[in-house]
Amino acid sequence: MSHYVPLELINSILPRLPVKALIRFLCVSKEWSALISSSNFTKNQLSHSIETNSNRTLILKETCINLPLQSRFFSVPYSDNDQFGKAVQIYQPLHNWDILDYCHGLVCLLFYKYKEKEDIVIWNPLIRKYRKLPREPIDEPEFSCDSFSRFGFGYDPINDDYKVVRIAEFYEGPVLMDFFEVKVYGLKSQCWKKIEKQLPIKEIWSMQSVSLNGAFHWIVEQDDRLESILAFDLANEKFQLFRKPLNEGMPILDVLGGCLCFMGVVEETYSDFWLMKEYGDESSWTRIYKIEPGAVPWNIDYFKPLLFSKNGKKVLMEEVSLFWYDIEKKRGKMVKNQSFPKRFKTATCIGSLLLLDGDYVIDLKQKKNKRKR
Amino acid sequence: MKFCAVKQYFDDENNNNITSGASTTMIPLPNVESHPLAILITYCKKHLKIKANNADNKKETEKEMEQYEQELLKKVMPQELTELILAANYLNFKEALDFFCRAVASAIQNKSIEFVRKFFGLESDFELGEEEKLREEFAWSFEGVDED
Repeated sequence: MSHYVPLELINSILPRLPVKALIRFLCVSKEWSALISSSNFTKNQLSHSIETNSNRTLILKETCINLPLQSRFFSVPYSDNDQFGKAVQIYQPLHNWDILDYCHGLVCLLFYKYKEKEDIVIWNPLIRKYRKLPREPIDEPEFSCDSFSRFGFGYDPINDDYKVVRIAEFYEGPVLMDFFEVKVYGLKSQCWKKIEKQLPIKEIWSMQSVSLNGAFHWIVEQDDRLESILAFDLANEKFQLFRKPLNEGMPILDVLGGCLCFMGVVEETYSDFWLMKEYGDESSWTRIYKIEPGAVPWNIDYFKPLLFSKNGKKVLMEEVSLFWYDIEKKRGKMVKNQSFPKRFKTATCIGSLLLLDGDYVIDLKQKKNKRKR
Repeated sequence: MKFCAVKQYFDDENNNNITSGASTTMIPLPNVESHPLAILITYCKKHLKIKANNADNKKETEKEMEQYEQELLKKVMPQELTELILAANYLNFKEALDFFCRAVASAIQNKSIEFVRKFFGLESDFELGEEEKLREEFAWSFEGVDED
């Protein structure tokens, strides 16, 4: 015998479900369908996912140097006690994309070649939905010149929106011009907007931005040849500069454990990791570890930090594959998983229903089978 | 006092200046049946006992509660879970409500639409063809579902 459970209680049960189940339960009844596809529910479910770290998945993009058009994507479940499940191939919106960045279960994919128009897609791999961004022209200056663009993807908590930034720099021959074009795309508005302010810098060094706290960050060079960190706040559209924690090594930015992470890398010598423990407070830069020869059985180079282990004592990092670095023991150990592709780039996802109203990612094989029938 | 609805009753009584001289008071709980109430009382007593035993150690409390909850779930029929949720909600017993919601989510997460409808006493109210369309659009989410 079942008792009628009012919708408000259903609403306490559903956010705890994995997104695959939520998608399936859209078919239970009209009421459930309306509830699950409501934007309030999406917010609720996302908060719950973030709090409980549930539905955690790694998205792996195979990096095949020889056959770039055949790079496959995989999803790997990643449990609460730091265990990896089996990698399963997933369908991606078109081929040959690079992972730009990721946030809240969304992965931003980019296809860009110098002097060619870019294609950008925001994808929720766990519910197989995506949105392709409209192509946005670069407002070139009147004289003829080349342009080169850099991109970033991140979350704006003030406006509860997901944004893509494109910064175009201009060259007259080999000479870099002293102005930039900045445009931002918002997932809510689904359109591009130009930022009229000029960047207070001479040159950008980072290939792509790093997103944290509603701001994009790059390593930049200012007029006096000083290298710093440029932060661009998405909500109030203001620029801010931060001092780097060290001057040695190639400077690279990332995000680790919810903090801005700065790495100073000297190939084959060391990789030094610092975290800005209090965002915006330069005095809070703290070294968390330094990878030196002997710690890892492969060449020391730039290793992208992905996340801390549950107890915070190890860091999952990306080399050609994945490895755990034990901070106390100062040892790196490769993650051995037969189902992983040989070489890949990684994005981390949690379960979310963002982009439920997006386009379907069509499984090309299924499409062919349908036509056959 | 974990049963907030019951606490409310006592508070109301005091506000009306009724002297509660008698040691036993009958509190009407028209919306809760005796079986789920018994389970909730046991759950509550156990929770308070574990908390008292591990006064300073929150982690130990959590661990012991988890073990108790696993044992409890083995004795409760899945169909009883909806009753327990309704009872915990009526009594405003937050911890139990949270636990039983989690238990229900666990019980239904890999189940079919038909199972879920039966579980909650629901029927399909879609227009002709609407449900088929949804099922086709999200066919992938039906893969690997437990057989009924």
